[in-house]
Amino acid sequence: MTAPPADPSARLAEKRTLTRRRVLIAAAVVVVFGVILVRIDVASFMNALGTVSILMIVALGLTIIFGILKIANFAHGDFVMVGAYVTWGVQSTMGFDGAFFIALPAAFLAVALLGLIVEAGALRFVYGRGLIPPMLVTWALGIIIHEAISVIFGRHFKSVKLPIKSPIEFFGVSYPGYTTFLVATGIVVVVALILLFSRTSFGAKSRAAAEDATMAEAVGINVRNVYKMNIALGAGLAGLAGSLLSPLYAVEPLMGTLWLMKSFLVLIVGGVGNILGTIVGANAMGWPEQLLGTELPSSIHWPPLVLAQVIVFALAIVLILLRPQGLLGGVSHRED
Amino acid sequence: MQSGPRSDAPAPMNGVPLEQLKPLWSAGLVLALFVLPLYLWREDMIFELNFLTGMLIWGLLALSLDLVWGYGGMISLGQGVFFGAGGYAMAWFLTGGITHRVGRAPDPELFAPLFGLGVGIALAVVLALGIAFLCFRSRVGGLFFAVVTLALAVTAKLLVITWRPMTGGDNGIINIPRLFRVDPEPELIQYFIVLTAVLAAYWICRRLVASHFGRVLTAIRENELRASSIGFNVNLAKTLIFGVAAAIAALAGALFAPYNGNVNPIHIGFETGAIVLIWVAIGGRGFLLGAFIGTFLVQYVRFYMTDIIAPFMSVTTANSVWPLIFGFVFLGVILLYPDGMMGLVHRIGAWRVPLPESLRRALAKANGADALPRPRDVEGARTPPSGSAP
Repeated sequence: MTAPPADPSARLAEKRTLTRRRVLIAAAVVVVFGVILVRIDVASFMNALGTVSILMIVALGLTIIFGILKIANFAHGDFVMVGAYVTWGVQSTMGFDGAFFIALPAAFLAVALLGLIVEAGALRFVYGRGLIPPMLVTWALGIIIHEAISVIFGRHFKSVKLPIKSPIEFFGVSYPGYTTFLVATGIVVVVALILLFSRTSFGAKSRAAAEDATMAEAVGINVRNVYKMNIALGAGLAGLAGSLLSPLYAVEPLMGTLWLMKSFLVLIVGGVGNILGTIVGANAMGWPEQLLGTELPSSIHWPPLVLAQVIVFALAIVLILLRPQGLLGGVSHRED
Repeated sequence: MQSGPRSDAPAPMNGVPLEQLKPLWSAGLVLALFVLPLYLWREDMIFELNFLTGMLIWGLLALSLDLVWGYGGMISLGQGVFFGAGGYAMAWFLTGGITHRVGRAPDPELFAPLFGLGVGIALAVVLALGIAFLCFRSRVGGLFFAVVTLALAVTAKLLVITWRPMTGGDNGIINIPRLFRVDPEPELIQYFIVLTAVLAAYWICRRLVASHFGRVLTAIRENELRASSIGFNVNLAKTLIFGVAAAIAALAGALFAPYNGNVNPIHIGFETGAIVLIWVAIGGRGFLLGAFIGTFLVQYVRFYMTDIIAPFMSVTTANSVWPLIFGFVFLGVILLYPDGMMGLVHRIGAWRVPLPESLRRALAKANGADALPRPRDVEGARTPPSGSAP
């Protein structure tokens, strides 16, 4: 970032350019979504938005762990998978589809607990040892978690039933029920997280620990506790997302890898370690995939869904090359 | 024994460190690699012979990861992609040429394997160089490299599953004939083909890491910023080593396809990349030989211990328990023994044994020929590998 120019008129001009740029970006977003809405019907729009919400929640968990602890959590995909398994377990033991709503908080809590166990058992030994050792440790933990699950439950697919099947009507327009629930959950999670990190003392402590752990400790913050809480929160979000996505995808031990990779790409595309960046990144990655998946011509050899994923990976890599700091990197890394 | 001025070398305390015996045991190892299969074949232990062949092939793959990780300092989760590229290319040619791959009886010509090998290696190297060029151009850190290689592996698996006409989808390519089907002893011939390839690759890697290029690479791994400010072309070196490693992985894949008889999406996906990481970590990274030791150890334990734990559980459970156990071992090794098995080997190597003077002289002469700096000597004992934040 260059220093602001001393001349007040120049500063004003710069401010005006910035405002103009923001207005342009907002207009572009509105136009893009408008075009999307005209092009596809409300149901597919909501479906896409629901999937983007899930991706966003997964990536937010990753962002919290990465932003506060500086740990690249390669077990995150497996946290997602455990969340899905918890949901499957609760729903199949209780025997009715609505048990999903009991499973949702259960998945959050169970995976948050798993996060705490993982922290106590392995992660605390690699604090402050750079980026690579924690990465390897979490990768090993991920292997342990999904192998343990496949020893216990087997490798075959489990299915979780949709808890809401009927559409929901709003102002005369009917929306697909479950995806509306997803979107609502996504919004609630995002708002809650932003409030948590900007308005509460926990958020302030976390930001302090992220900024400078030694200094935070010096002013009396129990950094280890802050780390524990944030791991629990990040893992819990992964579990929540796993629970949310379980009715839509096949639940199996290796399902996490795809989500791990997607959410890391989201993180890097959006700008590492900030919540707004992650939200932008999830939309930048999620929408093209959803739209390409429905809009590409279908062929036997190249199913649009697969092709869409490949195109989006390529897109993400190009984006990262153009802006290595991420879409929002360097703009608002303090707003956590 | 002549008296007079002593030589400048410090007098041995009470013998020679075992490490000095290196020429002896490496000669012994090579000899064993040639003699053991003959013995196994004579005793009609074909399963063990094939097991040994497979070990060498997987070891070759681990060797490629060791080049990238142990010397280049980059964690690649996509080493399976290059392995798979080599495997699928070889399979295309061995099962009767690319043009009529589907539904043709296998009809390998003499130089089909060579074409398969060439195409596989070319494919892998082009892919690796492209990825590395793109990654290092924008100066991204080790984390990003790991994520991109993981994305590459996931995407490659997806593509292979989808691209049915060329890859056979989920089932992969089956009924791949052996290399050069010269009877009467296909297993033995296959073993020696693999052994030749492995020894050649190992020798090339040894030369490579001992060369100027290898030292530049070590410098980069230790401190990238410093290496680049001294004036080394960091990006070029990292790109090149990734390319070489991809070629070796493709070679391993090309040997694997005819050995295994089929290749399927698991061999190209992240599963392979993940498991190789475990082998290299257990064996000890940055030693080349560690890759083979880790591979051998993990595979050996897996195959021969399954019988031992089998009475306590069903065979399928026993099979699925191993990855879990190795996950724990992997975790323990990363946390406690960053040098893996090779750290142990070097500790044993420091033991001193009494030796007659003449033998000691001969050994000193033989050791003088390869004055390789072991990477750990440079690095110091316990420093964690450094990574730069993206």
